[in-house]
Amino acid sequence: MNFPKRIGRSPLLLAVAALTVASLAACGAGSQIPGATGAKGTCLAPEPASPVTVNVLAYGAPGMDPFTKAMTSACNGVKNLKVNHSPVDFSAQLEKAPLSLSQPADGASYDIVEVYNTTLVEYASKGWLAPLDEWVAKNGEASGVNDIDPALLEKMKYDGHLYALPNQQNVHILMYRKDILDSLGIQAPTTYDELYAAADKIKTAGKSETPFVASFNADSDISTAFNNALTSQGGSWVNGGGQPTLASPEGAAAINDLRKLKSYMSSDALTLNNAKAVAALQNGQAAMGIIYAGRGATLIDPALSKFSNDFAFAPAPAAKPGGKPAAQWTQDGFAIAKNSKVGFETLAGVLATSVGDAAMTNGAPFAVISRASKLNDPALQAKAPYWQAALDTLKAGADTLPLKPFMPTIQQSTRPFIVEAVNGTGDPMDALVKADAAANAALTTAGYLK
Amino acid sequence: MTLLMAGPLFITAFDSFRKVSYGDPGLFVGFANYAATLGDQRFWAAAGFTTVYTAAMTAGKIVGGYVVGLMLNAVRAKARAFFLGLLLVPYVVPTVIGALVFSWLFNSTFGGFVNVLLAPLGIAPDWFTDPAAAKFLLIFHSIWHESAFGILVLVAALQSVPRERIEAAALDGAGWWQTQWRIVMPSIRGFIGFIALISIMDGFRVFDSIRMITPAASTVGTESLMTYVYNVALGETQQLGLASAINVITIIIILIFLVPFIRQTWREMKSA
Amino acid sequence: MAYIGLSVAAFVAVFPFVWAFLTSIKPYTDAFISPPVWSFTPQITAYEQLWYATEFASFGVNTIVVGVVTVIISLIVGAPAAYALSRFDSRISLWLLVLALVFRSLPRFVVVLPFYSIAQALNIYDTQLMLIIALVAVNQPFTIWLLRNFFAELPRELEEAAQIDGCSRFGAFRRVIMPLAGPGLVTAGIFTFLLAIQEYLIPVVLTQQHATTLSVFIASFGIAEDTALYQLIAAASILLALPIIALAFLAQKFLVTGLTGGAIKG
Repeated sequence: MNFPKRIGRSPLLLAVAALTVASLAACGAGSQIPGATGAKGTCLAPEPASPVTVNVLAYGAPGMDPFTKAMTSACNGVKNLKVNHSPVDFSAQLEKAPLSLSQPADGASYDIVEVYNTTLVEYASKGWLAPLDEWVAKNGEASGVNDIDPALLEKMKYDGHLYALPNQQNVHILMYRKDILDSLGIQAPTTYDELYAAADKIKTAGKSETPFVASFNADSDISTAFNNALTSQGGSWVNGGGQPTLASPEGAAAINDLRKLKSYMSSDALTLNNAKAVAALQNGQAAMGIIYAGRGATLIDPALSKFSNDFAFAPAPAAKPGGKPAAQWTQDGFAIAKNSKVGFETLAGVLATSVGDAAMTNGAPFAVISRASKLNDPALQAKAPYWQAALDTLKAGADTLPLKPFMPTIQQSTRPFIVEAVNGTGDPMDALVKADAAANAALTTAGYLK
Repeated sequence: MTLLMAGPLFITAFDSFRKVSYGDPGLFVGFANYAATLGDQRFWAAAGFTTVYTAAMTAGKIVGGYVVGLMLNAVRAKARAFFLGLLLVPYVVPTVIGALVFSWLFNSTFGGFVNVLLAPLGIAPDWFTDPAAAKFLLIFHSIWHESAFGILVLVAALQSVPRERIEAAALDGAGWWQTQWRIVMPSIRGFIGFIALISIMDGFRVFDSIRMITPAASTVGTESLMTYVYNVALGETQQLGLASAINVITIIIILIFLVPFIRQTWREMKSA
Repeated sequence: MAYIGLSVAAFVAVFPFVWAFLTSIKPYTDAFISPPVWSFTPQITAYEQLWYATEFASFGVNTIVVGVVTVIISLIVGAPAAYALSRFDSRISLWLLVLALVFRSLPRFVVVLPFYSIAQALNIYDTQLMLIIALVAVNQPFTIWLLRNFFAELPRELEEAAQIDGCSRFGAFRRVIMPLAGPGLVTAGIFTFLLAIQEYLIPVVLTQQHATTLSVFIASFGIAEDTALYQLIAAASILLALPIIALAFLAQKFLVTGLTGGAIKG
């Protein structure tokens, strides 16, 4: 499949796509993200009676752009409808969303906002989002929403109401250099112990000094990595009463896991975000990585990866034999701002376009898409060889963070102690006791604990 | 225009006595926000780092400006213009961009140029996660970024020192150091004060560079007063009241440092 | 000695930009590896992408327009204010100066959130107008203060003579003082321009897509989670830095004499 590369003066998200996919005739995407058919898709919004502008807030990333772009390219063709999107980085999205959503009625600067499970809970609990239940009951079949796995939709609910349409899900998987593992006679590891053994062999064989990589960024990813190990060890962040419970045997085991994993990573492990972790695989500095599945696309892309033919994907290993995969499940989708001055029917139509056929087809190479029939489409599966590993990881029991409004508070307040523990050599319990105390204090200040 | 600045200042002072978030009517809580701030270890850590940062940056700027200023005045005019132009580069480019490209030199993902130079010496700090190294990096960046301001002021200031006095001192048998210490420095004291003034105002408000170089400031110990405010008001939580109280305290700290300068100006005005 | 010292200092000052330039022209697979790759085939893909496939150009125009208009308004508003300040009774003058210092020291967070509300209320959110108003407001104290020092240097006898010749106070200001303050205005203008284009937090909060400036554009993708973007950012940084550096070379005379000539007496 070879598509002419059309470069137009279009938002930066095109650049993202253009660059990531660039010159990738193989993946069949040019800067217009045309996907298999090159179709712009159909906008599901009815024609507004008078001109309206819809502003979309969504961070720019290869895995997000196709879905954002689906709304702008299809719906800008509708008379009286203009859909704007200017990409921002992830942290800017987290700043701008509350500013806009908290404005009084009709005061929104963004009408449609990207959310994932954690922010959905936060915004919905504050009453900032418009529920979609009635609209889906009426239009679910025609719009394709009914084709989305109910388990996914369940994660976009708060208090029994649906607040966002998920366009994709993500989960950590193992991405590894099949050539190296094969040459050493190693199977893809299924537990951390097997992973350590594989890493040792790779080091001994002189294939890589830093055979492993994962995103341990002290900014936020380290909490995710800790969550993965913790839940796989059988531990949890809080008990039934909502009190933090990190200072547990499972918590200590999780810290030890992260220390051990870090010993196989480059010395700047705690600065690595997903992108930098991927770069280490792309340029051959690491041979195995545990990374969000959606990043798989950039490893098999010859323009970005020196070893595009050598990568294979497997489910995320478990921290201990028989444990759940050490992985976190997330869902991304779009939601409607309650304080938008644009009519709900119009917004819902634009929103549904983000899970339309064109969005799914164009997004397929870059994300584990949400609609069941598309996930089963062999043509799309061929573009995304990492899907199977992701679906297997989910089947083996990988789950989301607890979807509670207090989770961000817990993660933020405990993060410095987790960083300290992972960096240090002392008894992990000492740091975890401090982490629990900090979380307790933060939860009490925020009113979640008495 | 005054209103545009005074208005927000008033709102901030007002909010600092309330518990309030976005789109929320708010509740008057008296001095609770101040009590919470002053009782919070995180505030003192941020205030401590910000103070050290400001002091180191100010000292670096003055010493760097002085040394480079002397050197610039020792070369021919054409060369001076050439070097000064290059030295101005880090200062004129937007802080966020300078901070980004500066940090890349220490980042292995971008080749880690400095790390490669230091490796043979056995020095391999974790620039972005080890608190001491990260603090050093931020201070080093501020000196890299801001020295040009010191140079700009001092290169001209040094020219304004009357030659006769320096020559007279030399005739009296004063060495180079003595000349600098007794003649040059006292006569440019006012300029150094000016640099310190601007530097204190900017140092206490540092935000842009920390956001670019160590986005995880609160976990790696490089949180400044302003990144703390950011986290309280926009990042981690949306407690506008608490953030306002921290802002007010920061303004007060800055003003305390400005008092000597204001008195100096007052004396000049009266004598004029 | 001085030449060696200056060469080292200049190298340290400029090298990060040289490094960014190298990053921008390396093939992607050579750009993000340590130790760094020194031999590679230079390519200009990043610059092409930046120019054709992003809003770099229109944000660049925004940045220049916002910078220039901010300078013009700042000077029109600031010059008379600074002049008045330099001629007033010293007690009032001192208090106004203290006020200017207070405003100059205000943390950005004090002003941006109220500005955001104002922008929403007046329906000028994400416009160049709002951004310019905000930038003029935060930069005004410095402009006024710098200019005040210039005017204070000019002897009062000048405009007294002009007034005797039949000029009004304002006429004297316009005909006699302004021409003499030319270099001061240029200096204040350049500093205001630099402050305006360097500003980060204000445009982050007050713009969305129409009035965005390059600082925001570059910064937001510099911390993005996509290595492919880092090369674009390197290219954008270089393209933005070059004209500013050229300006610094051309204007360095004003920057040097400007800060000291009028600033304060030693």
